[in-house]
Amino acid sequence: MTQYVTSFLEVGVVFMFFTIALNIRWGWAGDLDLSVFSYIAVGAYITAVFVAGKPTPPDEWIIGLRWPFLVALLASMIAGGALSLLFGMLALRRLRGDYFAIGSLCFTLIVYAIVSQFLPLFDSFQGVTGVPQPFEGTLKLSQNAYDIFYLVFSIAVLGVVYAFTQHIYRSPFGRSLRAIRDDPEAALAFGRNVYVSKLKAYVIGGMLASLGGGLYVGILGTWNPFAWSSSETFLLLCAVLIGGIANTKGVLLGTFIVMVALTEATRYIPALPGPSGQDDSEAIQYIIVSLLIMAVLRWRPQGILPEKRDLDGVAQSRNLWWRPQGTLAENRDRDSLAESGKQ
Amino acid sequence: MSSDGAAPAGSVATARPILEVEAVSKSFGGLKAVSDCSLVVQEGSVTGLIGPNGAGKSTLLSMISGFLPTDAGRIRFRGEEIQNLSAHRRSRIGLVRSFQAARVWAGLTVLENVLVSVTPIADESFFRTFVNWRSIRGGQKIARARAREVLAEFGLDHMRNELAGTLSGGQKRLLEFARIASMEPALVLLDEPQAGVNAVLGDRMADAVEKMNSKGITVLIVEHNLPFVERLCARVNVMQLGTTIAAGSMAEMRQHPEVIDAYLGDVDV
Repeated sequence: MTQYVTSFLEVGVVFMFFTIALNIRWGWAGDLDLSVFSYIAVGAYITAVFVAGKPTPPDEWIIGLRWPFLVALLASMIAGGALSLLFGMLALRRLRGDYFAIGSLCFTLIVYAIVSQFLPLFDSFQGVTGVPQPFEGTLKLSQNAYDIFYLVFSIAVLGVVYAFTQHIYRSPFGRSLRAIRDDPEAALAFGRNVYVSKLKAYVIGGMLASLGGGLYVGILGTWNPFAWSSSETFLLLCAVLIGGIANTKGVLLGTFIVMVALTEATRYIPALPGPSGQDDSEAIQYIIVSLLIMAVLRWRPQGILPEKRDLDGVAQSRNLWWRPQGTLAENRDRDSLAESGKQ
Repeated sequence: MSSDGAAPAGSVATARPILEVEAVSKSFGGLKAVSDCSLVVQEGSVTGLIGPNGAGKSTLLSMISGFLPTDAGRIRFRGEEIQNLSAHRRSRIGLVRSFQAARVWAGLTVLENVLVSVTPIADESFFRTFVNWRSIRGGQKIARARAREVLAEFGLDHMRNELAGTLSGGQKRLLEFARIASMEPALVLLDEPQAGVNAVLGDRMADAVEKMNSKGITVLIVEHNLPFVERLCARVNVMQLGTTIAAGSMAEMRQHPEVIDAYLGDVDV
């Protein structure tokens, strides 16, 4: 039971890295990025080849070291950042909106094609295997204890990432990014270098996605092209939208709902009658998530936890998050209510 | 002359040009939107740029502010050529513009909109966000106080916590003015600031322009509302078919045959 609970919580925590990365690029900088799983994959592969050691023929992959897991994670972040810089420099200078989204999708297809076809890189469709459990040499724990340790470790790293991203959000840089998101031309007119700011956000997102990928491969023990697909990206986008785009807490909540709660809940749905006898839980998960997305877009487009406003002179606890961002009159009433409550 | 007979704002302009546009041109495919257009704006002045629809005024403004590249010609700001400078760099050297439709950052509050303008660019450095956060935090307290001052001047302080996207069109226009004023630029380009604005708000905007100019800010206004132009501008340039056809005071323009033919016609100013 413990292993079951820790395993789905671990996956949930790791996916929170992915959605935070996506949120920085999409929710804060305004660039719908359909290539996020490329950076997750890069992070997973780089971590794997830094810890799995030299491949045994006929397997082949680059690097092949047996370095400490933390160093491998750092290497994966650097690789994710470098790849983000490469694509960002090409795409962010000219592409906006839908065009950027299409460009990012094309980038993912290119990366997928290279990784899956170029054998010496990461052993094509076989992938990198034999990734040892992180810290296994240092900690001599039972499997249950190790699972709990890795979950706590992942949560601790997530905590650091959360604090890091919140600091950015509240800073003048974060505010400038959101201004760029809302109207890049107006931001240009007020002296903001839109391209450089978006590039910074893109690189930060890439590094965090790769960090998550590295943690993920620590759970799975292997990584190959079958581990990443467009449907996974779809689920990440849904998690961000359902939770509340641009609100990091909302994004974490959305990830828990989509990647943990719904995934586990659909396991208990009885198999649909039919001749194939296949496990339909994944299909049912996608149906439920899709219906949830449509409901959210219809009745709660800002998500469960919408982006919080920076209220000057009003206690943040009075920021009534559950009410939709309404008209001027409604907002004024809300602030009056908050102010009178403060008195 | 304004309605009370006082000299228009900007009548204390210096003889020094702050903006010189020299023979600039811009085509979109086969359409020549701006053709060999020249213009001089004196430092400290409020200068008007008028003309019929399609004359190329907004295109010219976009080229001056860096939002459109020039096909030909030179643009000098404070004596330095800027036609190859990006839009954000032009803003940083003191050349700021507004847009035809008021552009506010809808997802930010009214106060945050002004905070973006008053915050020094250096404080938005990603590196300094972590290394120098104490100094940035101190700077933000000062910026916040300054932003509230500016909002109070424009009568928007009581709305500082509203999302800018929920404001009415006129309020967005005022907020745009507040952002521009808070930057204290050298030259402001206003693109049809009276568009869709009622008379009361229009007067407030005229007062705001006069106040900006009294602080030494030069203003170039593209506008169709001629009483607004006449109240504020000591000098007016007239454009037609992509080029300037006349320049002088509004009174002179009213007598200018080409201007009457092209634009003023029988408009009762």
